Amino acid sequence: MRDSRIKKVLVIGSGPIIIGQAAEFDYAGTQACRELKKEGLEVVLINSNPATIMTDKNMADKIYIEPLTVATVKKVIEEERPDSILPNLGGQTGLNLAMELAESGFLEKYHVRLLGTGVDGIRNAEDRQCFKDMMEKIGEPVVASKVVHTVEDAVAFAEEIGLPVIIRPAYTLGGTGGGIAYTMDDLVEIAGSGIRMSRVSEILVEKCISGWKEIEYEVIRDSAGNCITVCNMENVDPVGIHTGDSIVIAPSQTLSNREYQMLRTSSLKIISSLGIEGGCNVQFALNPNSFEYAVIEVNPRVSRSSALASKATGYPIAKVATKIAIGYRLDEILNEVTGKTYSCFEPVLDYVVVKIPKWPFKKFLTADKTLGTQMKATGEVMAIGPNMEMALMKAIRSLEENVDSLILPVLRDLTKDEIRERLYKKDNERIFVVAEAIRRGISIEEICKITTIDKFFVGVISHLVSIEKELEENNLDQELLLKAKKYGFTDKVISDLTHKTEDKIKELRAEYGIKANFKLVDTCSSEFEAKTPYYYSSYDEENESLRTDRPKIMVLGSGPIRIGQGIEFDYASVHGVWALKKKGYEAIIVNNNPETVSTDFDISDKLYFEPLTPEDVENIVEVEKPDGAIVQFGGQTAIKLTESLDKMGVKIIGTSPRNMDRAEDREEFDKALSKCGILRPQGGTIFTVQEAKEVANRLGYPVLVRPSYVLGGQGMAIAYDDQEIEDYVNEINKVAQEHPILVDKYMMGKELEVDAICDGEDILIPGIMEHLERAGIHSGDSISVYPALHIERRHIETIIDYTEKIAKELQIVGVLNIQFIICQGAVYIIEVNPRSSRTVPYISKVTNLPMIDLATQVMLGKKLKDLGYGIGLYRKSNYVCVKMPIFSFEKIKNADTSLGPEMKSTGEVLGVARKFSDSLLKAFIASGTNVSKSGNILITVRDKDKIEMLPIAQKFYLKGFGIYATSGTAKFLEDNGIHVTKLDKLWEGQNSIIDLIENGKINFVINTPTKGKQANRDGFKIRRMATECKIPCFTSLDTVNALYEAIEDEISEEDLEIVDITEI
Amino acid sequence: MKGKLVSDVSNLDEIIEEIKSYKIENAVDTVTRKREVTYGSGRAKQVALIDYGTKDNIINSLLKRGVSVAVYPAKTDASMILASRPDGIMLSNGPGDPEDCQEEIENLKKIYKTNIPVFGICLGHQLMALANGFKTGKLKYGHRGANHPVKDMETGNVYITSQNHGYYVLEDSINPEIAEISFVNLNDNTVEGIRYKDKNIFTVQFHPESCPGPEDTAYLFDEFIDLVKGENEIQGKH
Repeated sequence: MRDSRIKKVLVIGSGPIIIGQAAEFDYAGTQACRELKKEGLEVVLINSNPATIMTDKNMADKIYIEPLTVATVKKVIEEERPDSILPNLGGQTGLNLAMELAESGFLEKYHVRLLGTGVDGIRNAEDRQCFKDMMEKIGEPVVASKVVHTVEDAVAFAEEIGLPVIIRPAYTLGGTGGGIAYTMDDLVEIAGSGIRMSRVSEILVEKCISGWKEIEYEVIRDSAGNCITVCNMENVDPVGIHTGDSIVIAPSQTLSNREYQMLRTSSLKIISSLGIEGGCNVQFALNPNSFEYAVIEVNPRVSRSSALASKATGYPIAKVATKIAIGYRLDEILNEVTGKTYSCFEPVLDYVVVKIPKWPFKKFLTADKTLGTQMKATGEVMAIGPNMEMALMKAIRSLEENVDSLILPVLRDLTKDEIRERLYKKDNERIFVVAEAIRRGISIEEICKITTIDKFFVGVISHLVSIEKELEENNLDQELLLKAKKYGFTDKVISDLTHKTEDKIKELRAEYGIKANFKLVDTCSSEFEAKTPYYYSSYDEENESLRTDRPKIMVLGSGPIRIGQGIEFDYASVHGVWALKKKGYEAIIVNNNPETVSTDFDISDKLYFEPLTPEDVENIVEVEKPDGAIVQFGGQTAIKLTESLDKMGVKIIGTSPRNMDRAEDREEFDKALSKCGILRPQGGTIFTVQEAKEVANRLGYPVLVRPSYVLGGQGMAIAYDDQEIEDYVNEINKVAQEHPILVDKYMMGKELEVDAICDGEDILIPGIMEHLERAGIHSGDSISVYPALHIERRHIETIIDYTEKIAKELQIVGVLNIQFIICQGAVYIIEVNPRSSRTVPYISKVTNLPMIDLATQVMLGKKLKDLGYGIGLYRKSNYVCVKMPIFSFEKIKNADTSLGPEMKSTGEVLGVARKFSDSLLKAFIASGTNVSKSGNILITVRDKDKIEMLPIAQKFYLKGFGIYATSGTAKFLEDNGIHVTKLDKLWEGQNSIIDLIENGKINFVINTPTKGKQANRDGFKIRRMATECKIPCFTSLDTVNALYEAIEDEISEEDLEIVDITEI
Repeated sequence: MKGKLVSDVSNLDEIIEEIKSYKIENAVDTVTRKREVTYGSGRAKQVALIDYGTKDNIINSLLKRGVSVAVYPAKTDASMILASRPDGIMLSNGPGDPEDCQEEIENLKKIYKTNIPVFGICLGHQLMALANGFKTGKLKYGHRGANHPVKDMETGNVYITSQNHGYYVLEDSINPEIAEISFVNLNDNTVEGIRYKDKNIFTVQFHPESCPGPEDTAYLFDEFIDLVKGENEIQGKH
């Protein structure tokens, strides 16, 4: 039964999206908030991430978009006086905060109960030594390991147990700072960085068992001690690669009943001994040649794996964990899938699920692509199929990497020996290398030996390769075509292999009567009648997805979380679905991201967990025959499907495909702008380097180079000379471009951004946002301020006027996003995106204007005038809101941290206050920047920035900061009367730059990058060093000015007033 | 529901008649051992296992706990089993309609009258119920799989079990003077276990020996062995 003492609950969110802590906690937090509200409890929420669905006004009674720090959470507790706190659904961030509050006695003082697992249980699971002791006590095997606090102790222990060893820092997420050491030199380096990263300066040195199978169990336990396993999962990549970077399959495929039950029993024993109340994840290493196993790790909370397990089985782990936390027993919680049975059962899968991580390596050309114990993926895709082959093929194409099968063209150019060599390398292309190795005749035995991947998985890949070969060599008869479809080959891949056109394959399928059918995900393999409207495609005979005769609209989702296309687009998709449902439509969602709210089966009327490719979407269209489709909400993933949907005869709801194209197509867009009398930076379209150079020289350097139809500025760069043009254009052309590359005059000015709704006649602008960093830094990486504070009235008028003109000219119906630039007193439009944007969730929240809801109504035919929010520019908020980008640079070794036109941030935080400087300070604190008001700054800037840097250096100098600078910068500052400590050596000696950074003597680094992207320059090394030592490193002087503004007044975090955004 | 795969439907009436009249008979006889076998002989305590079609893992689960196991054919006369002075009697799982096993049921009536500890699984559970005059029925689909939750009526704890049965003991037929329900299936509330009053007899419908399946209820073997060794009166779970 529910614990009647619980009346008001504080939920802690997980903060910004970073590598290792992504959208899965919005999914978990949203489920938690909805469940608590459904139970009639008062919910107070704190989360610094404005892009989330959980921070929506209908999710909680009080919402604080505030820094997730102990000081701020304390203030929220003092203000709201909740009786309990739910810590285990907000990832590691939420858990750590709750632990600090509990351990310091604060919770007790304010009579706040920790719901779910108790403090001891969390400590026993999280603290390395406690965990080890506990496991020894209950007789569960762990890997030989020792907790140490110094590098010397790490070395001593490694000598005792022998190399290689794994380093795991305590209290970090995604294994930050960890790694495998094969030599003593490695060990010294990795142990040093691990100790720095750990909140408690603690690392675990552990015997390396790489090559063992890595198996996970998702377990749930209630306060009465009932426990079940929701599912188990097997990593295709054995121990050694972080599970977040592994290809994962559910359920396990290579375990015997004995192994399965042995690990299951162990999981239940562990969760019981820890006293977990809620969800928990147990990771095992299993010796493939014996029944020996070891417990690797336990997460005493809902995790990325539990999100995956939820979506893989249909069992809503976060919801059930929430109910357990407020007192329910598993046998009291109804299984919503059947509506009759209870949640105290173990789901059965009559299908296979494959997850593949989405890595950001295309963004970071210099980055180390090796996979190890440090997670590098930003997101993931999941696919469901009746066999592993099909699920794997679906997952590969869901990644949107321009690869639709196991054929990776670049590998074709390598020799057999080179391929064999590549098998030793653990990187993001590993699975394709295995496939290529099979094609070249390297034996399965040898591949297994080198990679330590289980023979079963190599066999699956080999099976797919053999089908490729059959397609290439044999006549495409009915039997072969059906076989190819059943194992996941798309028409496009079949057409490439058989040298027939895609249309011909489609024709053949029609002739042979081969079409996709849909199967239900029901948690019980049809044992009970299920109500879940959750489907996946197969080529079996029976179709379980029955079309209703209600009017229905399909919403195309945004796929995996990646830099440039994050959780903001899931926010829009979910709100679109809700708006459609409210208006009486059946809302059908298609998406493939297991971390999101949109793929919860109770969000839409029907959920299709499928790749977002034209063929996969067409299969759904054939069954559902929707009255229309919405592509505006799912980012570029959905936009890319517009043309195909149009061809299938599906009506695009809102802005027409033709008009969307006019916004993207360079010439048409230019025409539209000039028709409206709007200026834009001069530019041209090109395909080749030669053309690019011509255009660039005509415009004059610097110029902005970018491919069309991308999001997040992928491949975008500022070129200063012919050489750079050549480099950048060649880089873009590595992938065949369907559309021309754009070359524009780079204008250094103030950037502004507008999200608006247009109904074809009127527009509504919730607010105008100003970027603190000048043009040239991607809007997603800029600090964005609402309302715009530093803009003249007349420019605001112009922006409104231009927005209205261009929206009407492009006949926008729905949302649009416009980027403006103000340069030398004139307003220019840089681009118009006829879709929802990254800023929509944040601007909706801070202006209290439900953009997506209104846009959806407009798309369904309503007029803005009738919707009650007026037209034109919406009334200005009394609060100033600062959105700040968050980067995950420390996770990706050798990624360049300097900011430019290509977006690099993974997430964002928001600071809300009445005063701009307070909002800024909040945002900096929320971003984890150490906002010291004194200390030392290291300045090293390129020549052309020196003049501009001078007043900044003066400000910090006068405030009492010590200034350190490299020789050129130092001389310039000295000449201008600033006392500087000059540094000339990067590496050597006591006072080398690296030494100062490592020893924490520097509080901030200001480094503006010289042109070029080479990783061997000193500036690059300084930036990396600062990042790895968690010292803020600013590469734009505008950001430094913002920082100064935030710390200028002697205001501390304690002085800042917290703001409940539902009151705005 | 019954069915038949045919390639020719010209004599449809005949086929339907054949399907209708088809009945599995004497299913137990087709799977039980033909003669007595003893495993792990010479150990201090001996369990007699009546083989209605026993899974090997029932034998293994007993052997693992240090007793010897004498396995008897299903229709062995009770007097013969009792003559060997077993310390406990295990009733195995088995196929078919329990009501067909009249001879087996008669033997169990005799065994019930003794004070020997008895542990029954699946068909063994149903036969002991019938021996006490309770009734059995047929489930629409049956319980199949390794994920069935059962609730311990005494402690309220829930366990995940392996199940494979089409028949079950009818709740209303259980005479409360004689026995009480010890486990129910959480999905459909059907009877999953019975404890007999003033007797060291308990039976379960599910498979605590599992294999394949979860090991959650393997502790029931420990309870049985405790009784066999005379170390404990029957009581709730550990």
